[in-house]
Amino acid sequence: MFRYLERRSECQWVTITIDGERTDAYAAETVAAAMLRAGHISFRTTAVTGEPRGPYCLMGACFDCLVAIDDVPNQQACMTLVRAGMRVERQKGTADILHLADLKRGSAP
Amino acid sequence: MRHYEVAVVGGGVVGLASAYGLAKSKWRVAVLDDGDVAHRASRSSFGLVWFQGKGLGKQAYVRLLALATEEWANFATELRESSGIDPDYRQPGGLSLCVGEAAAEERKIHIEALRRQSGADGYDCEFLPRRELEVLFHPLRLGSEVRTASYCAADGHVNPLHLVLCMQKSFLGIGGHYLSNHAVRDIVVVAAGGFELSTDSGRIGCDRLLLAAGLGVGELAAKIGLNIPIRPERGQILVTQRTRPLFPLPMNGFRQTQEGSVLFGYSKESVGLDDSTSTDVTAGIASNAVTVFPQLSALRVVRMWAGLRTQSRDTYPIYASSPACPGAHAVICHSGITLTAIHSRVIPQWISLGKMPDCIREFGLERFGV
Amino acid sequence: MNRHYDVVVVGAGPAGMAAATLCGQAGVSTLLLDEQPAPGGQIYRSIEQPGIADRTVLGADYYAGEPLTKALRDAAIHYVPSATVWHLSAAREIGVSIGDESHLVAAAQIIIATGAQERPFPVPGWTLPGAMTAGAAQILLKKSGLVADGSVFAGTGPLLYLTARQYLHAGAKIIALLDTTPLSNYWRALSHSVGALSGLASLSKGRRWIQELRNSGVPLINAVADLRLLGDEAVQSIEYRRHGTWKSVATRHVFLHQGVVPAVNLTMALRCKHAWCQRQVCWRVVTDSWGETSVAGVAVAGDALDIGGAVSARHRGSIAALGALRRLGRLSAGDGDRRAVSHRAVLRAEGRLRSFLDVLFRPARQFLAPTHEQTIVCRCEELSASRLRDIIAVGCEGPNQLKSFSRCGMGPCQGRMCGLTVGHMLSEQLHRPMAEIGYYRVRQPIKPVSLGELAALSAKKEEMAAPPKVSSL
Repeated sequence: MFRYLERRSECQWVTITIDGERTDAYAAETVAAAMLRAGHISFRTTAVTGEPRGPYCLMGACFDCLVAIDDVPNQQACMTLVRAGMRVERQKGTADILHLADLKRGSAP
Repeated sequence: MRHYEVAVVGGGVVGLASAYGLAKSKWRVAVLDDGDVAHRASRSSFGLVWFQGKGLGKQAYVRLLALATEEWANFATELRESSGIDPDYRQPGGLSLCVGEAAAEERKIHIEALRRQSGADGYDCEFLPRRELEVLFHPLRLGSEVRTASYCAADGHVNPLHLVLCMQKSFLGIGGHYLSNHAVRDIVVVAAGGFELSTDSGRIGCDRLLLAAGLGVGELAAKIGLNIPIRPERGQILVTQRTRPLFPLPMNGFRQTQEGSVLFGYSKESVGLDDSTSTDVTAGIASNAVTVFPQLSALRVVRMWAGLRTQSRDTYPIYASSPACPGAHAVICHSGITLTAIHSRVIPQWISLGKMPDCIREFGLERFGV
Repeated sequence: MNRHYDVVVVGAGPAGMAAATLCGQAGVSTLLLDEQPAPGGQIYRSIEQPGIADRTVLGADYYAGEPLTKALRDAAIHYVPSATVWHLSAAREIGVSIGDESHLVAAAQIIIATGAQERPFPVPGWTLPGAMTAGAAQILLKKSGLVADGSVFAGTGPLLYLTARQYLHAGAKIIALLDTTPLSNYWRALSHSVGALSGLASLSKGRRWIQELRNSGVPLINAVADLRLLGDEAVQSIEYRRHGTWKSVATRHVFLHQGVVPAVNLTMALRCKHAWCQRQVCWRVVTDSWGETSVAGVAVAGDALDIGGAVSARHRGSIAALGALRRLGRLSAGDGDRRAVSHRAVLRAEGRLRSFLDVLFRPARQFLAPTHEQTIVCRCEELSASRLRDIIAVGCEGPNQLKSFSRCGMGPCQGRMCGLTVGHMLSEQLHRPMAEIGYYRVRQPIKPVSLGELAALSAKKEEMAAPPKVSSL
């Protein structure tokens, strides 16, 4: 289990959900750090064999920390900062994208 | 110096299919391949095994494709059984989507012209109205500009990388010799018969010779007295991360692999031997993709690449025997994947009998007046 | 952000910060892009807002980065954080993704300062949740002030000992440190000790760290010749072989490390000339004395060029900036040479210790090309060593053929976690040196980019060549 060394009173807390469970996280924290501190060591299962994977490098190089964030799959948890109300879901196997909204022509999704 | 009955220059799908077929007929064959980094169009292929829409102006090509797509299923089974690796060939039929009214009209005229050209041969290709397409693709939604699509039951797709691996493994399994780092630099005709090849790893002797080295054929063919004008044509492709199955069928420009990656393509550019990708083209392919399938905008592209097709002047294959050097032959084509099955049967016949089989007879150099 | 800059720097670690700051001070239009939300790279990660207030935990070297970030903030440059560069062309066009939107920027000069990555450490079980790099432990510490109790550190190299020491000072319990440094390395390194004497201060520092660990009661187990991680759904234990005997240590957290190597994906995708460095056992981009690669106007600085640590990185960044200014005609050759003198002197001094460290901490062969058949080599595509060896035997000449036959290197990490391992395996199996084996043909995009973002770029480009002929067969 990962734990905080210090209580940082000057930092803001936000609430996110991880697999539906509400968790508190520091406002400037990465999703990966928040998940590790909440006790999740496994973030997903793989596409080919269904093996569990968790974050490995934490610097955006290994792509093992992939989770779905607000329904968008394959997001690197170590490269994304938490936001109030963010919904994080651990991925099972291959990503699904059919449920996502369309790209509006000329603007970002 | 090692000596073979047949030396096949080029280890791509054309060379390997030919060599595999020859080895099956008990010829002592060597495939002479380049090193790890070479143009290798076979590695850049989109993977379609395609009949529809091609050959307007040359019915012989339509007939060749009909044979090719008919023989693929059995060939795939044979490869799977002999190599233990599945080339992932599927023949569910294929679609060519038409985006916009003008494109739909153009396609209808094109297919109708092929139908007329085919006459008694018939031309099995029908147009599906939008509502039928919607049902077919559900739950994947089609962009509003998709009007119709031409459907052909003969179309399919394969994993082109597995295909090369399958053929290489099967070829080795039946006693074929695969020599890599043996790019051929010079060919000398031996007075007593046969040829001597100077390669990057020493000299090789052979009785008969087949040049199947893609873009390398032009220079090598000159050494056996053949003038084969070819030009590189660049095609760019995007590949995404894996996702759940999306497409009911392979399409012209859209295909999903067995592992779940989605491929989008492709361009046709004349840029010489430049095989780098360019943002204007790749962004254009992406734009086309989200126009047709708006839900795919969140899919992440993990790889883009460009392949260089070996293109002839009229875009059709060239099968040429050298009059000056009997026993030396050359082949180039850009639809190597589609033609693999038939190449494995017909090219060995051609090399061993010294006579051009009917189905490829109209693809010699005479048509260019050279 | 403009569409064109005189200088674009990619990466805001010490090299990038030094380069961008110097260019800004010279008055040329400068853009600094970095994929993290704050400057510092890996070594100075989160230095503007560290996750720990107690400055004794991370050590003085960390805080040496503060003046760099201060100078950066004061510099007259455009600094864009959370910007992921996914495209770079020889014509010096940069494709960058910022907040789900992509932009194209043109640059007269580019300085790549993307730093290093950890060398892959393929041992059985390294893909289990709970196994991370020592760098990952540092990132969690620096940015979030998070530690794990009951960890095992395994591997070799200065960063392993540094991180363990930081954990010690943080009060986190370390169960053991398993040192895979081959004993024979100590003898070989002695022949480099003449150079090391001039870096004696750094060497003493390293020895002090090790002594601290010993004094604190952390078992330091050396001469570890083999490792494997075990567990069902996550790491439950790590086993090590030493002098022929296997022992087991129960743990849920393993921090692996066997050195860092330059992150070459960007320069490889650009088709820059690279060379195999036998001393550092890695691929390195080939540059002139100003850091310019074989692609005109594209220079590399910092650990992306040569593993040298933070001090070297900062000076390499300055030299690269001076080189860029020279090529822009904003600095005369004489002035450039003069200003580079002090930086080059530091590099020479740092370099002497570096050779010694390279020899001492060179990973053992069994950790470069895995001996255990079931070890996963390509993490993304889940390919084992035995699977790859079987395919090599079918007639693979190199990493690209292997990639096309097996899919290794085709996953989202784009070969970062397997490229070197695959090279070592081919080198062993084909009996050819690494220099001949080569590396993957790395493709754009350098980081994955969404279809939608790419599509939107198409709409954005006002000046395009004739619309791409996206056509039927």
